[in-house]
Amino acid sequence: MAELHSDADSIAHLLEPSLSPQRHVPALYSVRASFMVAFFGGGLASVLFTGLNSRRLGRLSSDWLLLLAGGVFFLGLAIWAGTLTAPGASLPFEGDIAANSRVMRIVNRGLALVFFGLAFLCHRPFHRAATLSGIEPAKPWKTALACIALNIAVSLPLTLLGHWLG
Amino acid sequence: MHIQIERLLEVGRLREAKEMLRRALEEQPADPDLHVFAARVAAKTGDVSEARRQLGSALAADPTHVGARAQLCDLEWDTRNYAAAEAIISELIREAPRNAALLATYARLMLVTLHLQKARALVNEALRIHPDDETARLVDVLLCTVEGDRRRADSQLKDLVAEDPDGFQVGHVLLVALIDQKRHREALALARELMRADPQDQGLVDTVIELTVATHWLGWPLWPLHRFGWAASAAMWLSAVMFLQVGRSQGWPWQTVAAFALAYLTYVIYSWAYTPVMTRWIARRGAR
Repeated sequence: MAELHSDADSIAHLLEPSLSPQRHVPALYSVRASFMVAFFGGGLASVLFTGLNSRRLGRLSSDWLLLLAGGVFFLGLAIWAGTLTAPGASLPFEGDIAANSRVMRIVNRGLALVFFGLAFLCHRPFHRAATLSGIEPAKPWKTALACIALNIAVSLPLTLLGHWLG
Repeated sequence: MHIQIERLLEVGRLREAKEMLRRALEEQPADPDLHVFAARVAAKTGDVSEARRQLGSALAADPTHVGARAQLCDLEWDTRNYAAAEAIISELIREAPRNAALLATYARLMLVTLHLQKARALVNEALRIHPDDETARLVDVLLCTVEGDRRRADSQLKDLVAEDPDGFQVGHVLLVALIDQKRHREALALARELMRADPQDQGLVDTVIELTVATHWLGWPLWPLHRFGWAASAAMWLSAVMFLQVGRSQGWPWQTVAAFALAYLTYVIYSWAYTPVMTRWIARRGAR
């Protein structure tokens, strides 16, 4: 009997309840949706969308560094893109402002996909577990469009700031 | 009588089991084991409220009945009332803390609800107590698959298959591992075998359809996407953009650039449309 109690005590921390009737199993935004947001929305949209998935998983405390670094990086990138497309800017790409703008869009999209890849590596076990458990992904449309719209709303003044700085 | 009913349930002869149970309950209405059997029959036929009622009767007769509580845990799990399932299973573990199968089942529940760290801790504890427990090893394989530890999953699975080559649970977990490793042809062969053993399992039917779609010859051009996933999509986009940029800067004829862009777009649309269209077609035709 004493042994039974000691065994139960040794695993008591594992028997603390983790679930509650109020809190349902989180439905994640799918990998496909995250890819599309990064591809069509760019870096800031991808950071926001990843942040929402982290929140759903209750992992903001683990992912905050990645999200903060991504956010700061893409804000900086938007300003830098602004300096390259300002009238009279130096022209590293093909020698005209339209080319600069086009190349910076490609760079932003490529780096957004890199960020998506990093976030995917962090969340991959959860996506796999969700697939294994048959958890339907959350419907992404409204959130994805909101993230993309927010990206545009934030990037525009930053680009203008870049113009001014450039 | 109990053994006969158990046997009938195992082989899926539900009508006969139900009839035998009806007669037995008339004679012994307070026997909790009979109510648990009745709950199993009800659960198998999808009658959740009847299953609950039967388990309520079993627990009224014997509130500590382990079988009734375990069955109620399964029922709560199946109806996605995970918090209730957790409460029951942790209570059972407190009463039998050295039961590795119970710990492993709790780990599985944590896996299903995306509490992966706790699932790992529970399965490690189960394996520490009883390294040969089949349930614990099966859940360990699932967790290793989720964690991306392919080597450990493979070695554990190899031993499990060697020990119990015809085991249904082992087969299911092997199927999960094969799909995760993108070994679709082997997975399809196994899924068909499992489906023959349990043709009522809709999940297995869906898996067979998905694998048939993934291995169909019309899907061969999509091999890089199936194999490398979103990394392949990103790499293809980058290659296409670079090709177009080089074409633009080198002054290639517009027909060449347009033909390439058209081919790339066609491939993208094909990759989007292939799976839903083929899934619908194969589901209608039947996955042969």
